[in-house]
Amino acid sequence: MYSLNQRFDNMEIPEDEHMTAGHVACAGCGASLSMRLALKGLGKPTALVVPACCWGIIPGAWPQTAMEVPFFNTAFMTTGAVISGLKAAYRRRGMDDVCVVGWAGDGGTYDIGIQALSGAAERNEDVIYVCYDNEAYMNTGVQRSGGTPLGAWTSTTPAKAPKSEPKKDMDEIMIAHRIPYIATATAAYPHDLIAKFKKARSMRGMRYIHILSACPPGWKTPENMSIEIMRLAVLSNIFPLYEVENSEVFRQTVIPDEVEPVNNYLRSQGRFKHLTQEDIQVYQREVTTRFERLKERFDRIAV
Amino acid sequence: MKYTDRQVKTPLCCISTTSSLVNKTGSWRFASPVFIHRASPCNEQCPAGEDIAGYMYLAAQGRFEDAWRLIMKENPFPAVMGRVCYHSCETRCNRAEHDDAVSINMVERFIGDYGLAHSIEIELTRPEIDKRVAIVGAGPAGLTAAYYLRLMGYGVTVFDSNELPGGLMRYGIPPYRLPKEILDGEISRLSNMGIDFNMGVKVGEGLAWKKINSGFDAVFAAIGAYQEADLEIKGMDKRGVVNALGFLREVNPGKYPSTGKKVTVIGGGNSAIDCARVSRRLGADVTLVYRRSQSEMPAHTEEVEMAREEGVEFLFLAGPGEIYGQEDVSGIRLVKMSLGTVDNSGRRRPEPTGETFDLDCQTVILAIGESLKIEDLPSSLICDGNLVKVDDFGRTNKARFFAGGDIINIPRTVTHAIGSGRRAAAAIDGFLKGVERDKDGLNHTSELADYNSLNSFYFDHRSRTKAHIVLADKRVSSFKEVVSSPSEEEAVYEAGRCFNCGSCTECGNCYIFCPDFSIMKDPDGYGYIVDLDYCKGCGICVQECPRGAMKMEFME
Repeated sequence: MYSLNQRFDNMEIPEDEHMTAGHVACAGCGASLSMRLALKGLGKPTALVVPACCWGIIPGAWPQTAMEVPFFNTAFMTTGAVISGLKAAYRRRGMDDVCVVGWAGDGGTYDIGIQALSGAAERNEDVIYVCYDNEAYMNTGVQRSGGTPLGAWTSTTPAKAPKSEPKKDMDEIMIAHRIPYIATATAAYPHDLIAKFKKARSMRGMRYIHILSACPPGWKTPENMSIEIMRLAVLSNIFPLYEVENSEVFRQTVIPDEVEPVNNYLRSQGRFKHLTQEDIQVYQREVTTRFERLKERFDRIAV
Repeated sequence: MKYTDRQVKTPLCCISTTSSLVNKTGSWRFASPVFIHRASPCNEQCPAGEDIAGYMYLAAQGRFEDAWRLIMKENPFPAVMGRVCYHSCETRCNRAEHDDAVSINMVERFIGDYGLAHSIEIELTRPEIDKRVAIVGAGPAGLTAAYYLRLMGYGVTVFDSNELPGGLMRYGIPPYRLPKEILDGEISRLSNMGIDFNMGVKVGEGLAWKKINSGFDAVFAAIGAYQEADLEIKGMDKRGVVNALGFLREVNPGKYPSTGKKVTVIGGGNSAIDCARVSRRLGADVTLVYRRSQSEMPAHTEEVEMAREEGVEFLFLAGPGEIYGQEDVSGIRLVKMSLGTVDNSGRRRPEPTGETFDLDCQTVILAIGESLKIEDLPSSLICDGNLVKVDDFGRTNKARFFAGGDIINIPRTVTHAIGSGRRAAAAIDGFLKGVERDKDGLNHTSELADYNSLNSFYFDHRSRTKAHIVLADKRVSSFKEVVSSPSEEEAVYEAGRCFNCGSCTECGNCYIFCPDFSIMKDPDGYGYIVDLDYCKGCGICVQECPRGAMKMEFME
């Protein structure tokens, strides 16, 4: 009865919460909402490993914590190694049912943590690795990362000389590892995100989930627009939602009714304010080409 | 904790021991989300003030009886309304900007029929009040006022000069638009509530206004406008010249007026169209003559189109010059018109060109407008032109005397009449209890849920259900209803297309998208509440509310 004229049947969302209010994420934070929804999908028992990133501080200052699942702070480059070790320790103690989840930002995944992540993926460790991608080092003051998109302003790539390199294609890197499960998700599509976490939890081996996560201060956007902007990223194919099993089966999970031009996405954010109309056309071509390449693989599987 | 204590107690590996719930992040906020009820545009448009967004929500869930009871709060004639209302609500529907307006009228009709089919009765729950109100005129305005006053507990007596109650709903609207049994069904519900009907009594003639005034605590007059406008042309006395209301009155099952082979209808309003369509059903060739062009016609476009389909000929820019014939009408001479300057009705004034032409016919029906016969009312009432002067609530210059329907300055539709009856009932109640009743009795709130206040992403695209209209050549062969009733599936589907603008439907978006765990289900009832201890005021809930049922309130 809740699906009256409604795209989402919100009755499907699990009611249990595994963290509490009082956390110190900024207002309108996409990362805190992503965690909330991810935990709804994962359920208990789950243990989180978090390196230096926004989420290192979001649960609150010691001795407080917003988390109601074990949450382990670790060093920047070690997430992949620590989740491998933690899972081994749980297994050794007969607690193999604990789902060990690494939860790192784009800096800790694309740049600093890629070696440990690649190692864990190569060994096909029985863990979930989540990259919540807010496209820069937001926690330390918006420095550029490998995940920062082309043309974006950051404090180290100022508007006069915005980032000249495209975003590193981390999903392709993970696909090349041929691990059991890879997915992209965003909190703007909560049902899709929760379903992917549920699915990941039900599988074994290395699973990688890439979450696009809006950051109002870093993206220079109004706080209330977080969901809208993440949705625009999906609708304009900048961040297509899909999943990959064993690097063979590709499936697009949210197919936009109508593809939006990238213009709307870019113009909604202060970090792209300096882009000219020509820049946006280049951007549009880049996005279209990249999506077409991906789409070929969706189509091939559909046959 | 002192600094030194803290140094001692800090373990080698820091483990958090307290919940962050001690950290009241609500102090960061400079604006708060609040749940509000905005008026939907259709609700604002509705002359009777029906809560359309509300009953659509109920109907979409198949809760037809609840939906019916919700309509009855504003309008005691849902089944009649679903047939004769010109549904101007649909012109304001926000869904029109998304794909196509909701067919509100169709859903209302289904709900109304559901009420009749299941003989749902209205229970009188209020204690009886020892005061009596006289209602003069048993048309839609009078019956509506009678219904609401009776619900409040007053004793109500209805006077009407006709044999049966219903007013123009019975004697003006032809049965192919409103079958008599539907009207009878809805009126019998009223008489079952203990409303006294005093039919065949003309107040002012058989019974003096003075007597009514002294016998009752308040009077509501809705006697309607029956005075035909005079047409000063030659030949008005010929047999076969009739006026519209007199003609329509004759149209009753089993007893139809005779018209001859050719009929000319003069006028461009809804009653002209009614007369033309009735004449077609009586087997005549009909020409409708209107002195302006089609775009100036006051008649409802849908009705004009249906008349055209049924074979009514339209003759624009022509006015009556002379009706000729021996004793019976044998034809009418018409004067060609051209449109001149804009007059005070906002339309271009027709001006005779002097050129004439003749049209053969055996009947001329004049539908050029009716007005109130002022002599039928007490002489002490202050009138404004041909209408009784009232305020928004139907109060006249006389303290205990209220007026509504076609005798006050409102558009002449059944829906407007019903709205005027309901407002007058509220005013009469206020007057009899000695309290000011200046709040609008209708459902309008100050804020409007326009299209910009919605988040249309959450609504998918679904096409509008088409009304089932009987084919034109089949229609003219009888007085059976032209539009047939929708099925239950269609009504549910169509109600499900409604955005429910401005009302919370507990969709849960605000709860799902809150990053701060600050929206929760209201433990005491319907909807959600905001936990202001932790809400950081980001406003995502307001932005993502599909229906505009939330807003941000900035603090001073």
